[in-house]
Amino acid sequence: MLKYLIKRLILFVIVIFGVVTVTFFLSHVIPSDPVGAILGDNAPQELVVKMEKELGLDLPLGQQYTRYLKGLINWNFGISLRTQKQVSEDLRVYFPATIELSFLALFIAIIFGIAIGIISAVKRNQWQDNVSRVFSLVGISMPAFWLSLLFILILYYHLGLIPAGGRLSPSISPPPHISGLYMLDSLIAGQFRTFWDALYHLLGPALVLGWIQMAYIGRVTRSSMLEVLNEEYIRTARVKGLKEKVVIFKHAFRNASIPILTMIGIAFGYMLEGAVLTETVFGYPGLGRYAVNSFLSLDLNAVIGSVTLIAICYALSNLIVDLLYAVLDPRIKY
Amino acid sequence: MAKENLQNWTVSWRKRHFSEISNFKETVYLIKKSPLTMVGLAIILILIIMAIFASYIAPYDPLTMNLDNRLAPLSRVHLLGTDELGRDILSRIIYGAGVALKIVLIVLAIDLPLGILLGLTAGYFGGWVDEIIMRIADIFMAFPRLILAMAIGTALGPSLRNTVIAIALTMWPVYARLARGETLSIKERTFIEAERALGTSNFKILVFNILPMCISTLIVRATLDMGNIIRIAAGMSFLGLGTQPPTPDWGLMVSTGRNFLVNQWWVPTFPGFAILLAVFGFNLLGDGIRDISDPHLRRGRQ
Amino acid sequence: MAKEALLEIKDLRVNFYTYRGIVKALNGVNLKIYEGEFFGLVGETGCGKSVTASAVLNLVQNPGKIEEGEILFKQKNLLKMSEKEIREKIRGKEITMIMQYPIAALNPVINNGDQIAEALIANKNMNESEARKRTIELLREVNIPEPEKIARQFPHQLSGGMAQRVMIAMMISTEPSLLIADEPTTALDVSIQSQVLNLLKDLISKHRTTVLLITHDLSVVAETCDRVGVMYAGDMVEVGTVDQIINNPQHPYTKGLIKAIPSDRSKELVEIRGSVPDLVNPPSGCRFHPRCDYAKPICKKEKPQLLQIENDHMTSCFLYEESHNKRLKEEYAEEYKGGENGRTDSA
Repeated sequence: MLKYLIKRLILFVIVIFGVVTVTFFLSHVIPSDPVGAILGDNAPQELVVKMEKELGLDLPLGQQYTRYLKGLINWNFGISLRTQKQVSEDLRVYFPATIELSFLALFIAIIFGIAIGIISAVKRNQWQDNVSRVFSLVGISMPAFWLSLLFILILYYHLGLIPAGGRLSPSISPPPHISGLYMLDSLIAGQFRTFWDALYHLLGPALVLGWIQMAYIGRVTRSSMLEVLNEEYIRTARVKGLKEKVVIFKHAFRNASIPILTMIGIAFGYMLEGAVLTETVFGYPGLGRYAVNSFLSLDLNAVIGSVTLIAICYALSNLIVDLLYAVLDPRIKY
Repeated sequence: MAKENLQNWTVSWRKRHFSEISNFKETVYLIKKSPLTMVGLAIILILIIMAIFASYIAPYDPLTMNLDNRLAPLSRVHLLGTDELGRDILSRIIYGAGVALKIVLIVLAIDLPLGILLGLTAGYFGGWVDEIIMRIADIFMAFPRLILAMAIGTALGPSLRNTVIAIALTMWPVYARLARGETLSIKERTFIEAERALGTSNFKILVFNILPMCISTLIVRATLDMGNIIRIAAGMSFLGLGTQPPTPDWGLMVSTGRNFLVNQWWVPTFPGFAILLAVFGFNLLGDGIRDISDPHLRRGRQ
Repeated sequence: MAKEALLEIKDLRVNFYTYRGIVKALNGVNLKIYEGEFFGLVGETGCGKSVTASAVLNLVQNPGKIEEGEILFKQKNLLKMSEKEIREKIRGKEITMIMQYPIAALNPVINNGDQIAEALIANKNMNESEARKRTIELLREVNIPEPEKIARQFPHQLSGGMAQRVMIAMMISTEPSLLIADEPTTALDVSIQSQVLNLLKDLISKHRTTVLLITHDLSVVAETCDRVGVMYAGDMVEVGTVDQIINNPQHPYTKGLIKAIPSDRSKELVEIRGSVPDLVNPPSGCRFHPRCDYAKPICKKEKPQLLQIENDHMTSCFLYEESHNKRLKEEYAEEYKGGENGRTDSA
């Protein structure tokens, strides 16, 4: 097993390296004019040359790459053209916002998804099953940006149930920065009003993301449970005269949970994707929205920074899922 | 005499192809038994008809602007209203089906052969060829699809063509992986050894023995992915990184209509609903096909 | 005065609703098992023996359905009981079952000892420590070496034979009245087979359990069983003691089975002509008639009933109808004669 762990970690490092390289070269294909963006179109030539030298744009690509890698270790991506701040600073502000959103959405998705999946499997082909299957299917077919718009239209404009945007209402100041997760930090600091306000602002995007991921988790739960319920040992459990609840939860679900956990890990990865669209529509200041704005404004440094961060998170969650899988199944020998 | 011969031939053909016939019959039975799959099939057929016969079905031309009649609500003249440039929304949605289906088809037309080629090569020849192909695949898969597509789309410049390229580049690793996996498990089977003992060339083995067995898995996966392709393409257009105006692309329509969400809700809502319906139909069909080809769920003799 | 049967199955019909049509798996099966005996149910694959076993515990799997019939266990009809009753009173307590693939029949994520203890806790109201102690005792009884170690291990670490012993320990733990063994040795090596069968025999005599052994292997039956029932295509075609069935088979199918056992190396392999019928469209009347060398016109039209040939030896075949009727007539004649002589009741 240790051999597998090491092998997997090495793979992770290779992949991160590859990701970083690809991001670099990809972003250099982007038609961007960083100098022009800073100095304007009519800057005198000497100034342009000076700026190019500062930014290292006159160096051959190889050297720019090494410069980039060096900066990477310090988490230094340079300055964002759009916000005029260090990209790493921007990331430090926006990244926890997305993490908070993802965790809340994942929490909703897991609780409801597993419940729906189990009910579906147990009541196979009866109305509960058919309703939840359709419901899940609609969930995974939903374009996140459209659902977000609908939520805003109905829950904000017509019902006033969710706020306009941002992480906190204008009258409330953020809690002391411990983790960057407003809900957690405000709880720790005992600022309950802040806590509820942060939750209130997270509701819209979290529900959208949560609904979509709930559908994925529900489906996997259902199919995994169905497969397990067909196994011989479930028959044995019934022959033993055990109560049906025990059969389903103690015997079936424990075996079914391994693919479900894998799906949860994958769902977390999807969150990062979904966050891009959801944050943009809801106006939630997270990493997703930052990334989109960077793309749209051809802000090279910000693009590199946000994409790298997102890709690393994604690869990390995949790694954790793989490792969990190896740990949880006593049958797997590596 | 000839009639007898024909009858004999029919009987012997039925006997020889018994397993395929019974498979087909079982497949049809299972499809009919699953109303949801039939619904999915129906939706897809409607989409295809809309795509091919758009010019006959659509009441108006999708590009004709009519600034006097902007943002008109639902009426008998304009069943789904008009958008911010006075264009009929229903017609644009109908033409949009063609845009969406075109993207799906071209992406799959690129990715399936590409994936199969790379996967078969990696799986069959193994060694460093396998390692290299798989590492590259891993790196591509390390990006969330939408992000990578956005990056490529931005790099190449927003357009329909580049959307297709971007999405194709994000999805090929999945098919390569699948093809490789199938190749690996088939490669070790005895009938391949038998072929080699007969002296069949590698190429022939790959094409005539291994390839047919991979195809069904890949097609099932492709069907499941069709909905995703439409959704990612729509997402890209929504963000402005994909199709550009005035193409009647559903995602683009939602994006441009977004500003009118509050008072003219129909402008962004209906195109988005079209996306939902299309993805839903593909998912229904994909689910159905996957259920049907799953040997566990096919109940034979008890 | 006849003994009362522990388990009596009357006219059991089970159908499976599949894509190819309705599979008439059990066509009116009749069976009597008496307390303390080792009963063997033999037949080819697909003849319905496992379905019969599942029906007793009301665990017939989808898409199967019990259509009609009675299953009397200690004179109570199991088919009329609610699911709750069966679960609480019968399964695990009175009737248990061991299955063909023992490793697959054990939960892979729970260790062996806990799985056995679970049966004890649920059915015998033991607490955890009592159950654990008893588990180790049981494992010892089934001849498992190092029971504490095995109890802590997981099913995939066991060999087939060991896993089957764990299953037996589990299913014997609650001292059931009836133990159903559904092809328990079919998936095991021949050398392990006899070990497991002997173990079953020992346990039976110790715990006075009745055993219903299901198998397609006549030699296993010959070794272990007291009485045998032969099934074919969903019908019970012959029932009798082991001696009767093997040495004096009456039904043409049974005769064919006995003849098919390879004995003398010089002789050719004898087979029963034809093949097992399709149960979606089974043959009319007696389901064996297409393959029977003695078939008469009536065999195609009507289904034969189980008739007694000699003591405890019954078969369902029209061949014996005549001799059976003759015997019945003679018996009636005796009684009638007695009546004519003034006696109104039989001695």
